[in-house]
Amino acid sequence: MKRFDLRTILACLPLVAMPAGAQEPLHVDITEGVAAPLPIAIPEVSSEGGVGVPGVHDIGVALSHIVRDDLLSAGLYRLVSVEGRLSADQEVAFARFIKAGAQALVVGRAQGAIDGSLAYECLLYDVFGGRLEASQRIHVSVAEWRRAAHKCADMVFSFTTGDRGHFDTRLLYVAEDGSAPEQGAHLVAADYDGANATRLTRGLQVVAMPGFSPDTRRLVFMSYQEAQPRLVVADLDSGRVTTLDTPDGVPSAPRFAPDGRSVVFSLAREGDADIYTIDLTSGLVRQLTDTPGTDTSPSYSPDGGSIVFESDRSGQQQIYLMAADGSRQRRISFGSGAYGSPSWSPRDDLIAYTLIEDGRLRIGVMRPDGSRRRIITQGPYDEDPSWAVSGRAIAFQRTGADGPRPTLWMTDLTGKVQHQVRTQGAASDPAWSGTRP
Amino acid sequence: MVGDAPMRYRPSEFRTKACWVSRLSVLAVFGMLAACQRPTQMLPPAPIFEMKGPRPAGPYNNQPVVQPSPRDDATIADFSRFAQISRIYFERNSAVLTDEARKTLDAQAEWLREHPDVRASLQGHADAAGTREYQLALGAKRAAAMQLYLAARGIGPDRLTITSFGKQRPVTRGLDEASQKLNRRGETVLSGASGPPGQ
Repeated sequence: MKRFDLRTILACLPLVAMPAGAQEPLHVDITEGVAAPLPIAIPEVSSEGGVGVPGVHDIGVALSHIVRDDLLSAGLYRLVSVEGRLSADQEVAFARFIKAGAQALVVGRAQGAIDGSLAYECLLYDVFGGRLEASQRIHVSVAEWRRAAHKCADMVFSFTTGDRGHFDTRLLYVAEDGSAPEQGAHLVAADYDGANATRLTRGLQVVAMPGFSPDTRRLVFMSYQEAQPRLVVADLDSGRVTTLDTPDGVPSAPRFAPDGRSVVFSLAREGDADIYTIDLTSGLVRQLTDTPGTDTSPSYSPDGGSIVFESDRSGQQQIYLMAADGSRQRRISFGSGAYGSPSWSPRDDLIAYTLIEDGRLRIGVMRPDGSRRRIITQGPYDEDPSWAVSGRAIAFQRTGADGPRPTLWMTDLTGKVQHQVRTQGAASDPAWSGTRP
Repeated sequence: MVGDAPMRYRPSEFRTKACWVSRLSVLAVFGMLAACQRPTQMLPPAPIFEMKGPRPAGPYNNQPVVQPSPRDDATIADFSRFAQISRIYFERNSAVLTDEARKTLDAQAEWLREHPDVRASLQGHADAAGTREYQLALGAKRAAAMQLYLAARGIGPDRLTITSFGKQRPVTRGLDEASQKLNRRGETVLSGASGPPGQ
């Protein structure tokens, strides 16, 4: 825990005259998703043609722009503009950053590409202390040059918040092909910001409800084969695809367990839907719920000990918790409207959900005991919340705000910082990955 | 293609949706990528997973897809007749069959009794006014209600498969009530002979 060490160090430093509040370490305090933004300078650092990437004029400048976009999308930082551009070998002079009001300074330097790899030095300074707080030398392949900036932003984010960064991650979604009657859908994996989109499935098939394994190396999703949905696990390393041998019925809503060894899903049969798990090694299937009605959208707690799911056993969709073996089922959502698609935060502090009320679908978050519910999006049809690995942002699908086609969005936990993710055409069912391998 | 006189159905003449290839291996892996030297931390590019099998029924395409056994004597006219009655509608967030839906299912049952070799896939759909997972379960519930009703009218469950597309395959994208009404539906898609050909 570097930042605690830093606090100790800073506390021991003799204080010189500086603006009020400047003695604070570089840390973003976040309470109920609300943060006092950290003033941060991220100057352009030119690579001066020293490193070449096809189609990019100055990779150093391009990378600093990506670092800016990443950090500003989190809603936890305020960009401090400083005139001019640094050169890659320039000494950092803090005076003008202090003058501009920056507390933190991020300098990224692109260095020589050897054998198709790019080296990027990422430095985080405490401007008032005039000291280097964190640094990392990042190596990526030139083809994946954008990842250097994402990794740099992750370093800054994790140092200043104490949480894992969510910038060097992937986003999985369902893209639509063509239009009816020849309509199909395919799976796409892209960087979290929509760049480097890769098509993962081919064929005019319906695929739905994808999810990543905790290690981001496998996917699970619904794939329709002869109009029957099946659950499929695809291995991104080997390219191997396995259809899970689920019992008779209509399976849906698959999600990996945190240990990656099993998948939890909903199975509809004879008008009833219940939660099941299937062991990926032995194929053993266990039924966890058996009450009449629809039980679906299961999502594990980060420790794997509990499952949150939705059920209409009370007559309306509400959110329930149970132990991972199906015991101790209890309702946690109360209040007006119906509640669906719960998803447990990787930080373990919140559950995101979709509130269905007054003909609208909106995203909300609440504590795992059901308290402190708050709505963070405005709809009209916002659904499918998927957590960032940081637990500080949520990807979701929005329909109806700008035409009837679904689009992908991201929001911080206040709902104040939202942006649309660039996709080619309509996109739905977002699933945000953990840290990339 | 559709003449005045009833004509014998032949698969090559009938407009099938994609290939009817039911016994393909479920999924085949496409493009195993040659491993290449990369810096550490790099994954090879993700492979493309080939999703095989025929397409699901298109929302506007109500034409039955049939693989008849040689002894099946259904005609183009028969299928056209079925196409008129292949869809029923539901109330919002409900899997209860309306009077009108029951009438349509009665007609389906009659047709299916006349063509004992034809199987059907009962496909439940739902509107956009609910969450994806819940609407999928609702579609399955609707298809189950259809199956139960048809079973009571003498159509054996072995001839009927149940599936749900939830809100994945809307007939129309409009979010107004008039459009969404059309998406709360159950479709009966003819899906082939009940036994292997020649038996």
